[in-house]
Amino acid sequence: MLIQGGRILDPASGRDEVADLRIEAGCVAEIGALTPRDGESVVSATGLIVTPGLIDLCVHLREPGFEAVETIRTGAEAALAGGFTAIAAMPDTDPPVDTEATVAFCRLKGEEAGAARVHPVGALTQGRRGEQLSEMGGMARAGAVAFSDEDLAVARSEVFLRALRYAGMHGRPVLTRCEDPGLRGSGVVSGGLIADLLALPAVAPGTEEIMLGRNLYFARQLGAPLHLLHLSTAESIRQVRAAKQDGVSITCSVTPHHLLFTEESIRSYESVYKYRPPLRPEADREALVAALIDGTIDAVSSDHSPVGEEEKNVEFIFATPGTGGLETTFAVLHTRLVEQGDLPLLRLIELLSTAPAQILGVPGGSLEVGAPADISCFDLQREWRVEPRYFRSRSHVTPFAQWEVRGRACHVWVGGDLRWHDYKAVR
Amino acid sequence: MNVAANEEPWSRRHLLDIQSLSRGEIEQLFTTARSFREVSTRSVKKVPALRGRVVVNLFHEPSTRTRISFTLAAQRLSADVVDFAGDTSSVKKGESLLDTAQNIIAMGVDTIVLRHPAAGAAQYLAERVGVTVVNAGDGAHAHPTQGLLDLFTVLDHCQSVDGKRVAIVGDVAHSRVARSDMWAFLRFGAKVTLVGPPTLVPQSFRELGVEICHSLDEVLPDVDVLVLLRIQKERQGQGLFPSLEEYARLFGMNEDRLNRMKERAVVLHPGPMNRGIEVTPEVADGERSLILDQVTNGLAVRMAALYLTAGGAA
Repeated sequence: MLIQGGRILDPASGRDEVADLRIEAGCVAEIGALTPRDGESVVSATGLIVTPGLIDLCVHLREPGFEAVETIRTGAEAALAGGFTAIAAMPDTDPPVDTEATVAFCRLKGEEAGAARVHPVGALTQGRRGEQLSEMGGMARAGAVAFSDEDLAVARSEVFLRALRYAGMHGRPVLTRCEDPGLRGSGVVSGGLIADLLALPAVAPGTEEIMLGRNLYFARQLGAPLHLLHLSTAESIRQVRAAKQDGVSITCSVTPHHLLFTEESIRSYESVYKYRPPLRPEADREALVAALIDGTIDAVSSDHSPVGEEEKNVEFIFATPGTGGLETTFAVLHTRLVEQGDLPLLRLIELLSTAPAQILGVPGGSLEVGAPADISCFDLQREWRVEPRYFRSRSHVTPFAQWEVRGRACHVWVGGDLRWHDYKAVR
Repeated sequence: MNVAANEEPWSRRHLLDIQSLSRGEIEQLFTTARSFREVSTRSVKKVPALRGRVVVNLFHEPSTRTRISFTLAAQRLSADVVDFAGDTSSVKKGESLLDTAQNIIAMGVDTIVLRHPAAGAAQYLAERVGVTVVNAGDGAHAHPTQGLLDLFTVLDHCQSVDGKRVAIVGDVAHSRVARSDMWAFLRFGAKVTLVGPPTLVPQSFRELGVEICHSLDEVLPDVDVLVLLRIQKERQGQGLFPSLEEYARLFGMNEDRLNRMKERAVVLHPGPMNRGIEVTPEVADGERSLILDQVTNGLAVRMAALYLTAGGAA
């Protein structure tokens, strides 16, 4: 298979040139000025960019337990439509993914879907209760790429410390959000004037930073690979930057919604903007964008969180936080931060592919010869309007509905297999 | 009802909060309320202003005085009034607010008077239904008729609050009355001070030009209008203040404190009162208390709110 005439953008090597790319045996075979061989199928990429397939290191696929809002199949298909070749599925299902069998279930369902690769993330503690360590050995054997209690930061510090040590034995990273449960309380919005005027309960100041401080301390002591999810404040970024300068082995990621919206969006109680962590003031948003560019933030994750319409279209305080994101992440970030902002295109690709691959330790994120052919082609000029009813995801909840955006995945290969062609799934 | 020639006609279909009302709109509502107040003094306490219209009190929270006040207000305007006591225990689990409202509307209702524990519920409903919504309290967010009747009562007493010092004392953080009073008095040029422990007073309100003070005794000599808020006993259980006794000692209004206020200063309380905690009987029943005037005026203000949001026409 030959991908002909595309602009090859590979953050792993810094390559940015128009060239042809040959796929053989599921891997990148050669890049250069290539002539099609007899009988070789050719996909034209003229006018397109050719990048390592995007990888989302934190998505929620809701299966088993909540199949009405998403399944592993629909999530993996939504990923493909968004240009993602791999996604890491969080364990917050019912039952949670905290055993070898549930990890295997998730992996098999992902393989059956035949869309983006689905990498299971196992729970850090049994039942995600933050008490007993989960059987990480069995889960690692079944294919868990990382461990996380995701939406629940492990509250008991001694348990988290043990979990970090134990996960390290299996060579798997730990992903965690930073949220002190007591300080968060019943808070649903960021503290400040807007929260007070709306009379909505606010997360206390320090909810994120105090837990982040604990996590940074452990990462510093253990040298274990720790990834911090969904950071949202300027102070968090400052702490991470300082820790990285000290050589602490941590990485962190942010969501598109925290990069593009502020708490101003909730002034009329719009529950589509209700997230965990909550949206923050403009100064925080600006700090996140700056940290994307300067490298303090390693990756972007959509935190794809399918939510049912009836869970979202209710009074703000009762609404389920979260939003889908796999089908919009590339387009909204390309439009707002690259075209209308200062984020270099190659850096965006790095944040969405090379970095998450390295953080998770999974294949992909590179177009070097010999790398698995997980490849996406985007048409950056393609203008489209976000119409949630056309989503592959079962959830149509998104803050980007009706946005006019530019940039869309045209073709996607997973392991050399063309699964998305000409804006459509290949059957 | 005639409006003064230089005023824009009332154009709001809903009454959701005070923050969005202009001073002119509030004045117009007060003019209407004054003309309706006279109705309550007649032997036949009724005008045909809203005859044929249907008003539903949709209350998802226990309330006696606000509900009765709205009921009487609607009845004095000759509207048909129905009470719908929504689920007060588990609003989330039962029928959704929107479904409840749409069921009621399908029966041919013109105005929904909504009391609901979720902040923003009135706005949520107003954006989704085709009938008038009058907010009778949404969580700790807004209780616009209370804010209006408090301002109305004070203006009755002293004509103008421009430059006057209004202190709102107590659990501002959890009070829709405080938020509504704050906007009402600010709109009319008063200087507002919020008084209470830091755990119960949002510091961010300083950004609105409001002063915050943690000592009642310090502000008393400057105060013209003192609004006391009901302290909810469950806040103690949440650890927001140590005990009711200490609260009463620091922020309770008593005769000794009353004597340290200006001679013409007045005291308001939205009710229901915790006598002996935020206010002693001597203050509540004393001659500087406007508490029962508030209740009486509430009726006229709610008549005006129902009348104007209905389009001001029978």
